[in-house]
Amino acid sequence: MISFEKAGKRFGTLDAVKDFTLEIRDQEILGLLGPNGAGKTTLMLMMGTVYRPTSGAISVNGLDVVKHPNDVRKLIGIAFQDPRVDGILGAFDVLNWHLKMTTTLGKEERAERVEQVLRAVDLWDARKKRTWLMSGGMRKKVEDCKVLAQRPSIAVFDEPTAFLDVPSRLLMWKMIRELRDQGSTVIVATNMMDEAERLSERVAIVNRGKLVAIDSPEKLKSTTKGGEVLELTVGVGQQFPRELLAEFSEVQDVTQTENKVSVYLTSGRLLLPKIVETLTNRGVKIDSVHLKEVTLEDVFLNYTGQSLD
Amino acid sequence: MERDIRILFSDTFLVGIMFANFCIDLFVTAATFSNLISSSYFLMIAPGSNFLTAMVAAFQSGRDVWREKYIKDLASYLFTLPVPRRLFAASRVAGGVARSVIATFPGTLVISYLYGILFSPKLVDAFVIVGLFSLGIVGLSMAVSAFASSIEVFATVRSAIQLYLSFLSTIFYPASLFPVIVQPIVETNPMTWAMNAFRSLSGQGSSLGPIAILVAPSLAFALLGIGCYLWYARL
Ligand SMILES: Nc1ncnc2c1ncn2[C@@H]1O[C@H](COP(=O)(O)OP(=O)(O)OP(=O)(O)O)[C@@H](O)[C@H]1O
Ligand SMILES: [Mg+2]
Repeated sequence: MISFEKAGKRFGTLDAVKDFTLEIRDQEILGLLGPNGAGKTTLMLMMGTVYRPTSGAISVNGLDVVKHPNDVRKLIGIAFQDPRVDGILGAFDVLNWHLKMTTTLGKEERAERVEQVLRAVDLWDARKKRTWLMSGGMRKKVEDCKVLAQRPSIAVFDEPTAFLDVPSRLLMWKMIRELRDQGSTVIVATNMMDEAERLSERVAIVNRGKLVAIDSPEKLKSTTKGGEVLELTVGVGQQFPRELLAEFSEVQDVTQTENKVSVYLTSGRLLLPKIVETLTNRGVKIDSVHLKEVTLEDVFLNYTGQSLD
Repeated sequence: MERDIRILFSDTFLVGIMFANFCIDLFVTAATFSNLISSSYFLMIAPGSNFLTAMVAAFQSGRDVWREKYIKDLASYLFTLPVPRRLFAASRVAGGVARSVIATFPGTLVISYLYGILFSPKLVDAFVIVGLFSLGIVGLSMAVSAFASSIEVFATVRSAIQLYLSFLSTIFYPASLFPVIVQPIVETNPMTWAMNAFRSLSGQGSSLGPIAILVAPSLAFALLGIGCYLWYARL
């Protein structure tokens, strides 16, 4: 179990992470979802004993990261956001060296594991190619493979499928799930909705260094403002009478970005005609109407303050 | 212990490839020098060019540390590895020394041959001297890199140190040829000590005295380097 207790990290005057409290359960896949600069990488690097928290405490299996950094390092494997591989080495050597430093495996076992992961991601033929000559996606795969081969008890992936093509992304998700099934706790930072939704069991939404929501993707969606969104496009420059809609008890929230209005509500199907009628009676010109289920994206936009409320 | 050696080797291996060209360099320099200039003069300055190579190779350690820190940001990866940092710092120093001894290996052999000590126990002394000298420089370069905020700062400090070590020492001229004012500086230059130690190998008698002089400053610089590296690598 990993616990963050009011953890914070300050860079100069900037609070990259602030008052962050979270418990990560054993053997779960936790998605850290947040916009650029939210503090995801900083969180992971604090847990990985690269940054010292400037406030609060973080412990991994009961071990404080500041007091017992070496014990914590033995438990964690991190696949960095931008691959940290020595360019003059080929993929095989990079992975082999990583295993040499992080595991107690013998030479043959290491070679076996490296071969296994490299074959799985289709890099076996390119195993000797210097990593700085590789494409961005290939290098990223090598970075992910470090942790996949290491099988640490806590595996951290920072945007594991950035730069990857679609089949590779699906494969990477599958391999990450398998890693969890073998007993690892997995933490995945991402700013891609589909990754958070399809890979993780719980999603923690981070914004400006703070935890703003945590739950399963389904729960997040269903508890967000009713579970349905009515998207309206209104005539440019029109005042939108929000207070009119607030009178419906089913309407939970109304947000507006320029001429796009999102109405979060329950039982939208029944309410739709009424809403349209009320608005047109009030002289609001409606260009289009679209009713849909809440997606994780809506949840995300809602929590990360893109809305006007 | 086993791990220490393993790390030493993997670290050496990791960046050691870059040093193959140093060896070639040295052969070429040695060959050119001995053809151009009378061989007695070559005997005098040969250890110097060898030490210069050692110095450049040793400074590479600091440059690596610096590169890891800023260019590739490998440092944050290395720091997540479960290796105690003290061991890590010490093995980096050891790796740096090993590299510069390897880089100067042919040079040291050639000079030892010219000195006629290739098959005597003094050959060991020759390597010990190169090793001690490198140890000091590696430490120094790591100390510099831990504080250098840009490659310019690092390069400038490196050049200053290299100038001091090469031109204000007895590599090319004996101390007596220097102006009286700078003579004390020349005499207290680690490069001078290293040169003296090496030259003493060609004579009769023991060279333990001149070697012993090298030990303290080299160890001091190495510890300084480790200390600075640990400071920089602190959590
Ligand atoms: N070493 C550092 N020194 C100063 N500021 C930093 C440092 N590392 C991160 N920051 C700042 O902290 C904030 C959070 O950065 P972080 O890298 O954690 O974001 P992120 O959520 O990983 O973003 P992304 O999705 O772009 O990867 C940013 O504003 C960033 O500029
Ligand atoms: Mg990031």
